[in-house]
Amino acid sequence: MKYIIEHMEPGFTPWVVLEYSTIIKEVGKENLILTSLPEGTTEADIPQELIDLGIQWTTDECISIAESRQSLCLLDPAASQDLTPSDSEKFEYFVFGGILGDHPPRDRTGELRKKYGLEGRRLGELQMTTDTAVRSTQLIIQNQIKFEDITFIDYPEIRFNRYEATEMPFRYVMDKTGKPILPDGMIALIKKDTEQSLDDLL
Amino acid sequence: MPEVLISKKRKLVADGVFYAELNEYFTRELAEDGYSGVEVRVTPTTTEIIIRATQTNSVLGENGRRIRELTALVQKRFKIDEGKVILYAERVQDRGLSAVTQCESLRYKLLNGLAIRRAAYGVVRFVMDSGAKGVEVVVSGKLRAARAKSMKFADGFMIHSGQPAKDFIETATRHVLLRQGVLGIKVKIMRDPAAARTGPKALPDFVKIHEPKDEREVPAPFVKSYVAEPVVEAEEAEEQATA
Repeated sequence: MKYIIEHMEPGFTPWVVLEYSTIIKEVGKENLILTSLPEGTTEADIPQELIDLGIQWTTDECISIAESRQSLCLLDPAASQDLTPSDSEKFEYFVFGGILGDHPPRDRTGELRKKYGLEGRRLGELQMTTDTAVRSTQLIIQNQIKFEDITFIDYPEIRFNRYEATEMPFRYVMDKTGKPILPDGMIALIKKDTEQSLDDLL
Repeated sequence: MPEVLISKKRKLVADGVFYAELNEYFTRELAEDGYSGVEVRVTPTTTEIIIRATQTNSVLGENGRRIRELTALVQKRFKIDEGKVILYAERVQDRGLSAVTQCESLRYKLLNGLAIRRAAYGVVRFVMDSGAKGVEVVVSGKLRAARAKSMKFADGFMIHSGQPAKDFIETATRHVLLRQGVLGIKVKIMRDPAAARTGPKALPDFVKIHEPKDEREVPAPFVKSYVAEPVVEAEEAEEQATA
């Protein structure tokens, strides 16, 4: 069972690098492939942390990885069916959109849906981060746990100090201590975002 | 407006719509002047519109030019007779307690390139210094190269529900339109109930237990008679008469 991430954000920003690093560490570098990188991408364009972790990447599209389209499953919030443990027999590759989501979601996964026409499966109604989606898929497919049996925490609020907190409008998998599972260094990055100004966006 | 007989219900609705349109127009037009709200007073002869803002000088303009323009606009739009509508500009007292003003101020700070945390903390500090009980500032949206999130900055004491929430809390939301989406700004200010001029002066579940009064000495009972004096006087008078 392999995980394919269609790279959809321009470039590699710290957030994207952190999420991808976490995914590689959790699923193993041989099980993850980054696809649809822009034409002409070379090893120099990939961040060092990802190269050190042994990321596999290609400028090809995800459909060229598998022999037939039927073995590819797109994880799509707009799909009509939920992902179940039995789908492990049907699909070999699981495709995710490498999207930094908006709230409310703008359905950018739809671009993949329209482009490739793959069969879709849903992971609940709430938006998840890419690493959470891969983690949930791994729990369902590899560990054969049903979606309803996974403990999630929705819209967690991360408190930095008495005056400041940030709410992340996504669903996360909950760990044993009751906290959301976030990539290492993500909390520091979220805190750093408050120091940004609008000029940093334009 | 011409004198026609309208039913009370229609009149009330029309008043509401009038107020809403004025408020919306002034919010857009006077945003940079610290606009905070309008008040409409109808007298038999005129309709008085009082504009509350922090920078009344710019609302008035040079020699009152701008406010005359606004008056003409209002008069033409609502087809009011000449001279029947007057606009006044009033300075907002305690602009630190006006959620609308603070929200606009935060919006301008962000548009001028200030860091989100610095701008938000600035507002929080100013509001608390103005004597508010509590304040909450929320900036929500998607920054580039990050996921959507809601950044919350708060200080002091805040309640969220019930009648006191309607009495003591003022909220304002504004949108900052960016190229890739919208950033939402919300400011919620809870004013000090003790400083309220009308209505309740404390939260309903606030119980003040008074100190017991000092024990005073209870004196022994005594009789004070009011009848004694005239009897003595009459006797004295009798004695003098016979003497």
